[in-house]
Order: sequence, then C-alpha cells, then structure tokens
Amino acid sequence: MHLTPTAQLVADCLRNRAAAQKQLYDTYAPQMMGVCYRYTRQADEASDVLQEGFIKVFTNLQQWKGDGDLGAWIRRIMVNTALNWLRDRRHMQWVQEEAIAEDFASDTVHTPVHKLEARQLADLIRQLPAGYQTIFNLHAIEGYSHVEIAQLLGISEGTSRSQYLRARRQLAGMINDSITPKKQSYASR
Amino acid sequence: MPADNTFEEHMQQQLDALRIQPPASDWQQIHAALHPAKRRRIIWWWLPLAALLISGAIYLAKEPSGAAREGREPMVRAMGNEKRGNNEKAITEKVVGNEVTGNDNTGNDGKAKSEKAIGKNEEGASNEIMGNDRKAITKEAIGNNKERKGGNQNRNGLILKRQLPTGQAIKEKQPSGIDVEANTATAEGKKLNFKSAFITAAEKTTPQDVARISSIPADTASPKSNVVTEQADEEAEHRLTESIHSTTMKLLPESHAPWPWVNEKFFTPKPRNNTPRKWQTGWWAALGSTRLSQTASFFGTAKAAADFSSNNPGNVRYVSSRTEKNGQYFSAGWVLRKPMGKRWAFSTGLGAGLQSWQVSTSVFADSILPTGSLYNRALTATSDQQYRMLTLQVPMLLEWKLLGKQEGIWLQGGLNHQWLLQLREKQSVATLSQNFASTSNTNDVTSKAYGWQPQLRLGLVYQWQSKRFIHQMVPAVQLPLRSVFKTDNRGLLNIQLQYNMLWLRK
Repeated sequence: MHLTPTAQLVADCLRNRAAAQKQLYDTYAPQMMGVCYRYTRQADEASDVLQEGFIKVFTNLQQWKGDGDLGAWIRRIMVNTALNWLRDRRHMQWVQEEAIAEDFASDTVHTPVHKLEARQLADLIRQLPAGYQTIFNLHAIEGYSHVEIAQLLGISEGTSRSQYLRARRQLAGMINDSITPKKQSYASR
Repeated sequence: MPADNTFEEHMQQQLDALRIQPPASDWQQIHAALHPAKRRRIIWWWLPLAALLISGAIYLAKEPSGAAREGREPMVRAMGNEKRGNNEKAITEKVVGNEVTGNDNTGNDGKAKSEKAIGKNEEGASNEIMGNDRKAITKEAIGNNKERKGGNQNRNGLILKRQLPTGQAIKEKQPSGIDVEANTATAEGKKLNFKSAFITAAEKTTPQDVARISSIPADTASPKSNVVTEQADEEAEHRLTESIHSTTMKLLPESHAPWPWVNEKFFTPKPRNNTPRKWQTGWWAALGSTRLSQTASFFGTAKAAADFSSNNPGNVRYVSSRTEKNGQYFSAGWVLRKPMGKRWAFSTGLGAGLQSWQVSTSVFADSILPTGSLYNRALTATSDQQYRMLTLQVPMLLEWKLLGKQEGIWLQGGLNHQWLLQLREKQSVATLSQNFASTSNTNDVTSKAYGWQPQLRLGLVYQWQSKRFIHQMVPAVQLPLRSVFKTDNRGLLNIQLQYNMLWLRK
C-alpha cells in the first residue's frame, strides 16, 4: 500500500526510529513553539511545555488517524498540554462575572494589529493576566467556542465570555500603547 | 462574538505564522525521554556477542597447526618444498652423477645415482649431513657448519666450479639457483663431491629422500669426505638465513605473529599430558522450541494465575479461552567443562538466548437459558500477544557417563539460570460488540520485565572426539522452576538440541 509522506513518517515514528522522530520534530517544532510561547510567560516554560507535548505526541501517535491534518492534531495536543501545565503550576482563579455587553469591545475596531510583528503580539499576549491570556488564546487564536472553553477550564460560559472581552480590551490598549510611543518619539525628533 | 471580527482575524493570521525555533536542548530532552533504555539495551546485546567473539578469537588463536606444534621441522620442510619445485631431479643428477668424481655413475638416473654415489663413498659422509637430523641439515644449508674445509660455497651465484681429476677446472650452471664452487682437495681426484651433493640434495630433496639418505650406515661416513666448501661467504649465508626466516614466518600460523606474549603465556607447546581432569572450554549453540508452562514453584512464585472466566448472576456467562503457541528458541554461548574422575563432569558457562512465543485469548459471551443450557454464544473479544525475550544464561550442570569411553553417552542434569533481560510484547486486541461492529487495535509494547528464572535441565549427551575437539550433541528439556511474570505462575519451557564444541587440551 502506498503511503503519503506524512503517513510514512508517522509509521516510521511508530517503529521508534529516532531519525523519523527527529524529522517530525524539526517539521513541527517551530510552529508548536509559537503555540507554547503564547500560553506561557518565560522561555524555559515554553520549552517545558513543548517537550512534554512532543513526548505525548510520540507516545500517542498511533491514535492519529491518517486522513487528518497531523499539524492540527499535534497543535491540539500542545494546547491541552499547555492547559494542563498551567493548571498544575499556576493557581488560576476564575472570577464569575456576568456577561458584558457586546459593545464593550467595540474599542478594538481600529486597533492596528497589522502594524505589529507576530512575535510582538505574542509578547503582548504573554503580558496579560494568566486567565485572560489563556482564554484569549483559546478563543481568538485557536478558535474554541466559549462553551468549549468553559468545559475545558471548568468555568461557566459567561465567565469565559467576560474574561475574553476584558482580555481583548486590555490587549487592544497594549497594542495601541506599543505603537503610540513610537509615533511620539518620531514626532519629537 | 463581538461584531468586530477583524481584530480576531488579524490576530489569528499574525499568530498562526509565528515560528520560534526551540533550543537544541529541547530535542535532546525529548529524545532522552523517548529512548531511555537504548544505551542499556545495546550493552546487553553486545555483552554476549563480545563473549562469543572473544572465545572465537581465543579458539582461533589457540588452534595450532601441525607445523607450528612441531617446532622447527616445518622450516626444513619449507625449504625443501620451496626449492624442490624447481628442478629437483636435474640437480640431483647433475651434482651426484657428475663425471668429475670419476665414479662410474654415468648412465643411471638421477636418484639412483645419488644413492649409489653415497653408498660408494669410501670416505663416507657425516651423519649430520646425511639427514639423520633435520636440524643439522638446516644448519648445513644455511652454512653454519664449521667443519667445512676448503672450497667456497656461493649459493647466490649460478656457477658450479669443479676440478677434474686431470686438474682441469670446469664450471657448470646450476638450474636450481644454488651454485657451488668446489675444489677437490684430494690428490687422486677420486673423492666424490659428496658435500656438494648432500647440501644440494638436502635442500632439494623430499622428506622421503632425506629418510632414504639417513638409512645409510654411519660407518660409511667419514669426515674426510667433507670436500665441499669451507669458508662460506658471509653475505650469501646472511641472505639465505633471511630467506629461511621469511619463509618460516609465512608458514607459521598468522595468529602467532602479532601476539607473542599470548603465545608465550598460553600457547607454548607443552609436553602432551592427557590428564582427563583439565578444564575444557569451547562454545555452544542451541536451537529449539519454547512455550509457557506451569511452574513447579520451588523458588517462590508470583501470584496465582489470573482467572479469565467469570460467572455473572444473570443469564450471560463470560468464558475465556486461552491458546499458547510454541515459539522459537535460540541460544549460544561459551561453555566451561571440568571432568571429575572417569564418570563425572561439571559444566557451566555463559550464554545468551532469544526466544519468542504467542498467547491468544478469546472471550465469549454465552447466553444461558433458565434450564442452564447454552442458548447463544457470541465472541466478544480476541487478543493476540506476541512475546520476544532476551535472556542471559548461566547453566550449572552435572554429567554422568552411561556408556563408552572417549565416545559415549552421558546423562546431564542441573540448573539453567536465566535472567530475563527484555520483553517485547506485540499486542493485537479486537473487541467485538453484540452487533458485531468491531474495533481493533495493535500496540507494540516494550515492557521491561527483568527477572530471574531457574530451569531444571535434563539432557542426554552424545559425545565424540575429533583430533582437536570434543563434540557433544545434547537433546535436552528445560523445565521452569519459577515464574517470571507477576500475574501468572507460568514460566518458560524449552525443548532444544544443543551442540557443544570443546577444545581438546593436550
């Protein structure tokens, strides 16, 4: 039977061949490091999550169904690993809040997101409070619904929604702040 | 979701493209976590292999060729063989049957002339030269004989110079590459050029010729007949000595060359002493079959076997059937044996074994009627487990002779200790529901099951000897005395045919 290159790579990894594992790691590690970077605060924390995640990937690779996107599957494992890691190492407290009016977040309409590099945006996300950071990552970047986030984190849907909107507003402010001083500095010259 | 989706879209777009190269140490950590036992496994694999290689090397090094065991004899043979191939007959004819001596040998064939010439030597030739002692011949050949008087022996040239009885000197070309310039010292010119003949013959003749020469009575020999060369050319001798040395080195077994200290310490030929109680060493290889078997539990056991059957209080009963299939067994290693008296011997060693077997389990769900009879049976799950195991083995066996002497039959019994080093389990599980929609899964599991399992070994040894080896063919059975699994009181039973080859020490 003819296997796709990815399926062949996975088959070799399942045979515990180190070269194949290294190849798979080299292919997906930079992308997954970007994911882990957003969920953590320190570089070594991101490395820890990445290592833990890849060990899970290699030990559970037989569960991957060949027809799916391997990158998406690995990313899901990384996100789950990051959430577990946060749960274990950080005591996240969730404050139950009422849902906030939608127009609360209308201040992000003109936020110049495109003016920042990806790494700068990720650095700003890391500066959010732990709860905001997690929920923003899950909802805005990973595309989880608030219902799913509520199930994942064991909180109410309303809490997820309100935390997200607060995170969004705070992040928009941080983005604006990071761009504005540059304008001022240029103007002052 | 707020109406403003562009913020999320931009964020997602930007951050999806985020790539950060992780530090190299991350992969090292992951690799170390994924392959923790690799180094240990390699070591365990190489240990028995290294033992085999070492014993093989010792065996090869220890096997002395017949030539090497007999000291310098092959040197003489080597020289004879080397040069005999050229033109042996011609030399013999030329030297022995030469007309110069004045003997009536002309007209005979070469060898006959040679014998005749020797026999007719009034002065006689020394026994040394005649080949009674092969070492002496060698000495003569390389020009160490100090009794040579008169004449020059030039072995490098091609000229044979003789003086005829008439006083005329002649030169003959030797096809053998050995030239002798001989000056007969006797006035009557009747003396035979025996020295020349013997030297040439000794170097050119076969061992049979040498034996024939040596059969000549000693009283026919006389030192006066030593009419050949006296003052050997030092340079020619040196070259000849080197030639002999290089030929000898080629003939000696190669294993003797690089390890002189090993040769001296272990392989120096010793006087033959067939003491039967020496330790004997060699190697073994065994091939057979293995399977799981109930243990006698002499050495303790793990828990009792798991009960795969269960009875439900309702009208469904789950029944499990288990099938164990025989697998392959192979082991090899180094064996050490010590005969004790005429009838007993103790045998031990170190070896490695590889064995595999298969266990199949099926679970049935039986529907039972109120009367107790079977209403329906459905297969609910099947499981195939393939095991592969590496073992380190140390047999401790006693042998008792039943029949024969050197060739005979022995009874063998004792313990075979084996240490389970690694277990590879390939598990294939299929779960079938009542409506026969099935799921299946195959796992390749490497579980570490380290443990000690002694086996009771019973065998029958058929032993025979060749020139240098004791050979043993041993059909044997090894019964488990202790389980290796904590959840099962089964152990490994082996039926095997083993071949031992022991070096016969003399």
